[in-house]
Amino acid sequence: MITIRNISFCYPDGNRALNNVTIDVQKGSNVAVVGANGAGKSTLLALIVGLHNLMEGQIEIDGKAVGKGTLEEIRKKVGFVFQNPDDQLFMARVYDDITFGPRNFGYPPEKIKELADNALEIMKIGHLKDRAPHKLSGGEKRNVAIAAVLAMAPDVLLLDEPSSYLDPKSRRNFILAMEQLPHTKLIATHDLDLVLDLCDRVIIMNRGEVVADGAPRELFLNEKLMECSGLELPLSLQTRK
Amino acid sequence: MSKLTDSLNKIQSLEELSDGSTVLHRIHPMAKMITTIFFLVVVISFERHQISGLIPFFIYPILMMAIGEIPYKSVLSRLLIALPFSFFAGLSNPILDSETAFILTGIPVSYGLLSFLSILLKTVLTVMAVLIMVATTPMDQLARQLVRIRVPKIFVMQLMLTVRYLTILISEASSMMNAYHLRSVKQKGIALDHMGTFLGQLLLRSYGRAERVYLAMKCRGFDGDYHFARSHSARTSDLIFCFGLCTSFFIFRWCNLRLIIGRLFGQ
Repeated sequence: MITIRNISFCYPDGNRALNNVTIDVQKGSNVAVVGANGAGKSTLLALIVGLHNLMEGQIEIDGKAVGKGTLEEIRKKVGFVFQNPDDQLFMARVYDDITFGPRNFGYPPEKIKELADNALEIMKIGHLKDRAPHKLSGGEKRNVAIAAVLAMAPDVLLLDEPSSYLDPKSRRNFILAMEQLPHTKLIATHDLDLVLDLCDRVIIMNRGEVVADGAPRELFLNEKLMECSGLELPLSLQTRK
Repeated sequence: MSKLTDSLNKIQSLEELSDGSTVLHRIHPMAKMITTIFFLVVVISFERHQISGLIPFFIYPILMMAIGEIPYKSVLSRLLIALPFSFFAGLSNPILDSETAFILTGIPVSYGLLSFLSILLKTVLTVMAVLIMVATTPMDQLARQLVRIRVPKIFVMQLMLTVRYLTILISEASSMMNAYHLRSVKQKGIALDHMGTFLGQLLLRSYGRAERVYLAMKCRGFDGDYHFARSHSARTSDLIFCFGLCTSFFIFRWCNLRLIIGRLFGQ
C-alpha cells in the first residue's frame, strides 16, 4: 500500500531530517512511527502527502509515485491529520470544516452530507457540528480534525500525534474508533501505550533513520534499543517487566 | 479574558447569529442580497437635503431585526464604529453651506446642516441593512451569491480567506499577549522596547501559521478554487420577500407618502 524507498530529506536550514529511509506498509495494517523529538516522524508523514519536495528516493501509494502530477490523486487516497488541530481547522463552523474536503473533491451534496454525518458519528461529535472550531477545547478540536479527514473517505490515514490534547476518555474513544476503521494507518506518536493498544507493528526512528522495525511489545522490551532511541518503556509494560 | 479574545468573540458573534432559524434566516441568500442592494441604492439616491424622505426607511431595519431576532445591541454597537467616519466627513457641511433652508420654531436650519444630517441618516440606514444581512446569512452563502452576481471569484475568495484568517491572527496575537503579560506582571501594555520584537514575532508566527493552514487545505483537496456550499433553491416566498420589499422601497422613494397620508386624513 505504502512503499517508501531510500528517501532522504534536508530542510532549507541544512537540518537533515531523514536519511535513507525505507519502509513498506501493507494494506489495512496499523503501523506506528515512534522516536524522540526531531527523529523525523512528522517529516516522513509530510513527505508521503507531498507537503515537501522529495530530494532522494521514491514514495509510492498503491503503486502510484508521489510527485507533482499525482498529488491530487494521492491526497484523495491519503488523509493527513496534522499535529496541531488549529493548523487544520479554519472554517466558521465545525460542519463546514468537515465538509471542506469532500466539497473540494466535487462530490454531490447528498454524498457530502452522508460522508460528514458518518465522520461525525465515528468520532462521536455530532453535538459539536454547529460550534465555532476556535471555541472548542483542545481535545474537541483534535476529534473534529480527525473527523474532517475521515469525511474525505481516504484509504490511508496518516496521524501525527493523534492522542495529544485528548483526555483519558477521549483517548480511549479515539482508540476504539480507530480499531473499527479498516483504513491503513501510519501513526507518528510519543504515546507508546497507544501503540501497544492499536498497532501491530512499530517503526523506531532516531536522527532521521529507521533503527528498528517489528512487533511493539518485542521492541519496547529491548531496553538498550529504547535508551539509544531516546525512548522509555511504556507505562503499561513497566509493572510486567 | 484578554481584550483581544474579547474582540475576537465580538467579531464572531455576528456570524454566529447567522446560524439562527427564524423566517428571515430561511429566506434565500440571493433574495436578501438583492433586497439589501436595492435598499442601499434607494437610500443613497436621495438628494443631499432630503431628510424627511429617509425617515420611513427606518421601518425596514427595525422590522428585520425583530423578525430575525437580532439583538439591537449587537447591531448598534457595530454602527457606532462606522458613524464617526461619516460624522467627520460631513462635519464641515454646516460651516461651508450656511444658507438658510427653513426656519424651525424660530431657529434657522441651514442647507449644510441638512446635508450633514442626511449623511448621518444614510450611514445609519445602509450600515444597519448590511449588518442585518450578515447577521442572518452565513458568510459562505453570501460569498456564493457574490460569485453568482459575477463578482470576480478571486476577490470573493480573498474576502473569505481574510475573514477566516482574522480569527487565526487574533488568536495568535492573544496567546502572545497572554504569555507576555504573565511574565511582566507590573506592565499594563507591551513596553515600547519590546514592541518591535513582539510585532516581528507575530508576523513570523502568523506567516508560519498561514503556511501550515494552507498546507492543511491542500491536503484536503484545495486547488485554489473555493467550493461554496449550495443553498436551497429559491421558493415563491423568497420571491415575494424580495419583490414585496423592493416595491415598498420604490414607493417610499418615489411616491410622496406624507402627501398621500395627509390627503387621506384630510378627507
